[in-house]
Amino acid sequence: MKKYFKTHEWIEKAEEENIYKLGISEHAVTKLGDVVFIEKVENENFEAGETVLILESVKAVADVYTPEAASVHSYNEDLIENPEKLNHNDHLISLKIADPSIYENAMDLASYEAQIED
Amino acid sequence: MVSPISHEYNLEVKAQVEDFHGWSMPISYSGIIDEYLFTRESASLFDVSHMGRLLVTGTEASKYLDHLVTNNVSKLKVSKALYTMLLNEDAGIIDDLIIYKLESEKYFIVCNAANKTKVISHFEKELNNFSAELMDLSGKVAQIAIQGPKAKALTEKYLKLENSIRYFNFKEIDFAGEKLLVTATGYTGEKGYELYAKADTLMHIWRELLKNPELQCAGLGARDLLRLEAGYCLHGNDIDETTSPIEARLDWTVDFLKENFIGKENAKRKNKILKGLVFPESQRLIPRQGTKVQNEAGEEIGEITSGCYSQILNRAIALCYIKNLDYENSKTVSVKIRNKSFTAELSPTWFYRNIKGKEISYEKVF
Repeated sequence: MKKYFKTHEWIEKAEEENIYKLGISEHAVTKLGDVVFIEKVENENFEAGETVLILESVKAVADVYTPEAASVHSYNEDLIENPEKLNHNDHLISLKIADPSIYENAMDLASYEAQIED
Repeated sequence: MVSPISHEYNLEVKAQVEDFHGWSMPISYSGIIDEYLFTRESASLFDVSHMGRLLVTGTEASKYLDHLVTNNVSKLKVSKALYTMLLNEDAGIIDDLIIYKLESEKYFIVCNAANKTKVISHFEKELNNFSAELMDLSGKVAQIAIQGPKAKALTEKYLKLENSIRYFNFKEIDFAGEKLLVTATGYTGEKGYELYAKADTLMHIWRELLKNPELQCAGLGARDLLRLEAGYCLHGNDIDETTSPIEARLDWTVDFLKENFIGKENAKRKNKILKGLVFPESQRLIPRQGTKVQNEAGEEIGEITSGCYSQILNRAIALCYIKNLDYENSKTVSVKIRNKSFTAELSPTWFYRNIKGKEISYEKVF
């Protein structure tokens, strides 16, 4: 199940232990509009709240943040090479996250959507 | 304010609508890039009702407009249009306008939505010295644009026009008992028409035209990409009250031989110069407004005013002002986007147009 954050990312448990897939919400995809480029950042180890990818859309640039200290497990290369395919179902990146409580405490879709409306 | 033409339609098709200078306008329908490509390949319908529309009449209408704007209005023939600048005393551009000569002393003027109040107040200040009248028709007359390689043929067929209208010419026709102004103008770098009429008439035409699969709706997002590729300045980005027509490479809109017009004394002012920038194919970061332009030593020599990724040219393009005129004739500059430096070639201020056939400017540069 996808769990959401205020900054419009979601994470979902992958099959491997401590690995989480990270993507962005439908709201964020709609707001961004056409994405023309997905930029990887230089480092592979992140503190909580750091930028893991940058989305360049026709209208704006948006950072994708990790909710918790993490390191890169793998990228969704197909999506990164074809940024026009960006959607809210597919993940952008898989992260190794040491502390699982971040997932347990994140919002479910209904709570996330409710707080956007506020 | 909502558009009198597309508001209901936008709700029906769930268009992405955003505030644009006080107007709720469609930004995108099927996606900005999709709409942009469709315009370049076929034809698109744009709701541009937010633009300001004015009427100037009176025995001294020509003289009055010649006093206000840079181009020569008195020389304009009936049924022809003129692109011109409205300057302040410092030769800063208050707005860029299209003036249509309807009759010998009757002119229809289109200005930018964001500048309408300023344009009207500037026009009103000079009104007492001339036998002329100014009317704001923005609420009475609406406006749509049909643009793209197939735009002219399908509009002519629908409106039953016998002859095609030449670029920057127009025709007033009767359409179902209403007056319809059909002008061969646009803001996309494509052939096409703009239609001016009462909102009800245009709403009907909007719906009818969309039955043709060769035509789709496009929003202001696609319009911005199209105008930038075509090198058409956007007021607020590429031109404003600090830029002179010479600086913006718009000197062709100024008749320096005209006896006088507001701003003439300073109209040759040149402290910076507008240039195009073409980025290497591998570079996909978008050079956005405000991004600094540097020389090889990393010193700031200018600033980007508009930028986008051009799908048709497969590279990022931008307009920028070179503020250090020592670099006016440089071949390349350095542009720093998010802490990475890229080399870009200085180019003409337009990149792609399909008005007299397909033309790409940067092929001449590289």
